[in-house]
Amino acid sequence: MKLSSVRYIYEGHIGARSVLVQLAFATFGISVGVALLFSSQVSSTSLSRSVTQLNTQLVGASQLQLDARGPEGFSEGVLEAVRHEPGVRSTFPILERQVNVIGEAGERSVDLIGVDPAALRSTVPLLHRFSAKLLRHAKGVALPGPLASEINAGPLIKLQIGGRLTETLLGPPLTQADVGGLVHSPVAVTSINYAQHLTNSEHRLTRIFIRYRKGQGTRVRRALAGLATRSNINLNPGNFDSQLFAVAVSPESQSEQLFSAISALVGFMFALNAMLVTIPARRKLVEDLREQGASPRITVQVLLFDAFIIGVLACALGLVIGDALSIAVFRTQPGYLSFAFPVGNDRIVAWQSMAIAVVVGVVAAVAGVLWPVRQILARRIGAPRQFALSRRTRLALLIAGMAFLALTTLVLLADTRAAVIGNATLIAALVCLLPLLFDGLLRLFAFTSRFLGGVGASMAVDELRAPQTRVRSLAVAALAAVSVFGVVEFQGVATNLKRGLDASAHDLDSSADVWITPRGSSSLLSTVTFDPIDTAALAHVPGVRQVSVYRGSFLDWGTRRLWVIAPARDSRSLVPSSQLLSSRRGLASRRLRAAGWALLSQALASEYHLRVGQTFTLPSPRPLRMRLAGVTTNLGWPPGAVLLNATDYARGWEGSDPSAYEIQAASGTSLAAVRSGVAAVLGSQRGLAVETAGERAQRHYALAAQGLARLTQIRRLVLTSAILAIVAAMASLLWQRRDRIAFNRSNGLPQRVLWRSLVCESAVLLGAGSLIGAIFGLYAQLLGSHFLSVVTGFPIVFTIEGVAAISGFALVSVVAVAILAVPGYLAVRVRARSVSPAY
Amino acid sequence: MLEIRDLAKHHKLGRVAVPALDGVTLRVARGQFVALYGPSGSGKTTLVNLIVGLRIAPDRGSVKVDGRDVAAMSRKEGDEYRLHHLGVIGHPGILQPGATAVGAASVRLRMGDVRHADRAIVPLLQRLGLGDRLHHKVEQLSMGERQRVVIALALSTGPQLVVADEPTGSLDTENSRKVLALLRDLCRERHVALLLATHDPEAVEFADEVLELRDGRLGAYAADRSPVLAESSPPD
Repeated sequence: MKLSSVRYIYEGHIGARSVLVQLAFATFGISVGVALLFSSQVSSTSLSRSVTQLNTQLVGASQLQLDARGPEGFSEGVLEAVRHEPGVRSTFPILERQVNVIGEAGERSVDLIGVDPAALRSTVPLLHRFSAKLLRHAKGVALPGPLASEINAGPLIKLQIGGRLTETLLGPPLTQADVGGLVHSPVAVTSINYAQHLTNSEHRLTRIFIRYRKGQGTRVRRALAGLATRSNINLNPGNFDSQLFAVAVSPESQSEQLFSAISALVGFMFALNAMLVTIPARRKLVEDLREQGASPRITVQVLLFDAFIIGVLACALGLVIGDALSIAVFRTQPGYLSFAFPVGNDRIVAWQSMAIAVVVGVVAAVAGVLWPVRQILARRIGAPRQFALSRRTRLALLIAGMAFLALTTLVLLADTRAAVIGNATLIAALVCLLPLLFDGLLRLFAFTSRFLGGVGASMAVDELRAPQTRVRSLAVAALAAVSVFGVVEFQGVATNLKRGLDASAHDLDSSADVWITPRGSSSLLSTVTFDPIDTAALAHVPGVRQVSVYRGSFLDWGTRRLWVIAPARDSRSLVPSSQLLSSRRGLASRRLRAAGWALLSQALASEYHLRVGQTFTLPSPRPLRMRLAGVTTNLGWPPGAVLLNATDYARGWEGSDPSAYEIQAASGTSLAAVRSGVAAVLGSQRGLAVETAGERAQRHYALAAQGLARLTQIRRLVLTSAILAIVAAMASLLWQRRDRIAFNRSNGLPQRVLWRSLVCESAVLLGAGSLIGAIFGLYAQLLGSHFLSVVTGFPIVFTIEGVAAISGFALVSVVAVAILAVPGYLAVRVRARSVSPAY
Repeated sequence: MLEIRDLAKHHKLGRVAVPALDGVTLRVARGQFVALYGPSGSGKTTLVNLIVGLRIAPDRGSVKVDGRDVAAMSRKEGDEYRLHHLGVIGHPGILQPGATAVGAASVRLRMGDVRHADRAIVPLLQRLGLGDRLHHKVEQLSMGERQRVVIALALSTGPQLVVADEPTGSLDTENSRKVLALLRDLCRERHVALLLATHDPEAVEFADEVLELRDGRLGAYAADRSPVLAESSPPD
């Protein structure tokens, strides 16, 4: 049949107001699913792409880079050696340092990048519009416009470098036109000379990007490898930061992939359910068409046209809603990753995110319109099927449900990495068992409603038991179940992860009573070094028993940027006992206090096939031969961590600058008093902060919460979408009920009773669905938590988060019923008609 | 044209089988107008559904159109039969709201891939007295006019058999008479076999022959509407 004819018939179909309203609800329902998918995808991709963007801007066409192994960098002499190397076409040296910029309205940790003005145009696309001459003489820094506005930076800005505060001029703000997507990244740019001056790193560099001449790659690489070995620096590919970041976010990416996949399943269920509630209208269309002689091909053409229209409208609306949600609910939170990578908070929308969301929306629309396939293809379409489960079907559902549950358990026990499959089988089990569980809960409600009395309750029970409306009722219950399932799983996993991270932070922070660190958030991992202070003065503060140097930094090992933790040998507790996965705590602690031992994260130990007691070489500026004292979780740092004592650290890293001071208080002393005493001694050093272990742990907890923000955001989004999808589906159901309500009114039933019956029906439907979803969600918590623990190496505390189940169940059912009371009230105001009630 | 022989159909209500038709035999020739009179629940709609052959199949007996057994038709043959050989006139509610008279009446022509379907249907609509209402939307038409659009829809593909199920159920007396007269005249002109199922005693006056269906069994029609059940036998 011609497209124009298909369109013509379709226009006739949607000409009926009742059909149009139902299609509008279906379109909205699908758009909610699309929105959920799209916004979660945008959130996942924004983080990694902001780093890729910086990398592209900075690296440009450079093929290689020489990288310092520690924050102290390397001598400028290396640059001269590189430039004299035959085959090298151009070089681009930079000096990077993590600093705090302090404005009138706040402070931000940024990556201070000192660039060589002479190399700007020739080598990298960064700051193309900058005048090299201007930059060469600049005695100031330039900040991206949004960042400068955020901290309300004036013409003079304070920089905190390590523990030192200094003031400098602020250049004109960098705009999108100057630096492209980098405008949302936490960077500060200045000339290399000025950066060296500011950071007291005269004649030092941290990186050199290198471009070689055509055909000279092998030769240059070989020569630079020798130079790197001699200078104790690393030779890496030009885009090495992207690789490092990919590894750093890999655990997060994997967990987000899991949750995105779950969101996709939930979104698809939303979309499909939205279509299922419109089945009666579509079935009537099929019957009308076939009675007029339409072949299955014609019928399918009309239905696919229907799917196309609904799909396109729903996807367009879904992308708009999703975009709004991703701005309002999802904000990229780089969190602790920004301490080691210049992660921006730009919201990047990739075409893949749109494609995935649109495909799922269209597939749901097509699946929904082709649902009455029996009517389309059968020789005889028969009367509308009344959905009543025979004993045989019940048994089949029970067996299938139990089989899916068994499969889920198998995944949990045997291969936790297949958590996406486990979640899919768990949802399949839920869908199979839902009709049986729903019937059981309905029977329970019917039994209790007998004691409560009231026409509304008994009418609701009759309505829910009516075989004609059963598919629709089960579809809505399934919608509620899947939504609560998702919410409970996300919340439970997030809580378990948060508890694990908190325990890790608590262990690390409690190695001292009071800490001295540079001010600002970037020092939270104690990786920013500062000039040593007079510890003798501190030792005289009342209540101070001992002052020790703590050292730490980041170290690139292979493609991992490791967190190096080096407490003093005489720290109260060297080993984070709750995070130790192998070796005894006492033994590991004794070994760490001795020279030449280190703890490694499980992922690292596995990657290098190391067992406790074996030796390895740590690629520090001066490589260290170490022995493995034990294996830990990743201590909350996704790429992994290495823990050694501060004395060993000083041997491996050329500088001996501290990154924190650990103070042990005498027993019985008030920690607050010690903190005040220490702060008083440090009075002149305004760049340093003094905090108790408890205060520091609180900051760590807040950081962990920030790192988990996206899980919370996904949960919030699933919850919001669930309520929207349920309201759309239920409102569609109520709309279809108007004829029956009119008929009941003509039989003398008052509005009040009808309204109560509708609210009661909604409450039972959603309550039962949510309860079933909550129970399955608890199982999913276990699956998700095990997945994160095994695959990502994060510290996790395994608990069943019952509060999440109860709150998810209560929120979805109560909020949805409260909202539905309004369309219910409007529906019962329909004029009484003595027409025959149609389902 | 239409030949129904010993037709029986039971509807299942739970475990009970309720007879809807029991041994019905009748024949309608081309150009003949047969009215099937019967009260509500007598089995008229079941008989119409068996002739359409889409929803139900007979438990016994056969419905043959031009010698072809409807129940034995394949899916493709059935679709082709309903599109080209059969016209069903039902309640105007089947018309697509929002469509114009031309659009609603030309749906079957479009399904048959007839070129310029909306032009092809115009003469029929004009013959049905809708020449000045061609582009009015269905909702803007009176019930009588809508019923005429339904007739046009049924006759649009040139079927040899037309089945009308209570076509005047929602019309006043005057409109009913007009519509039935038109239907009779059109079917005669086109040499179409017409079977009218109705509970309206006035409607049967237009028919060449009237049969009465009561409790699923066919009998001769008595004008005083107290029929004497006869042996089910084909009318002369």
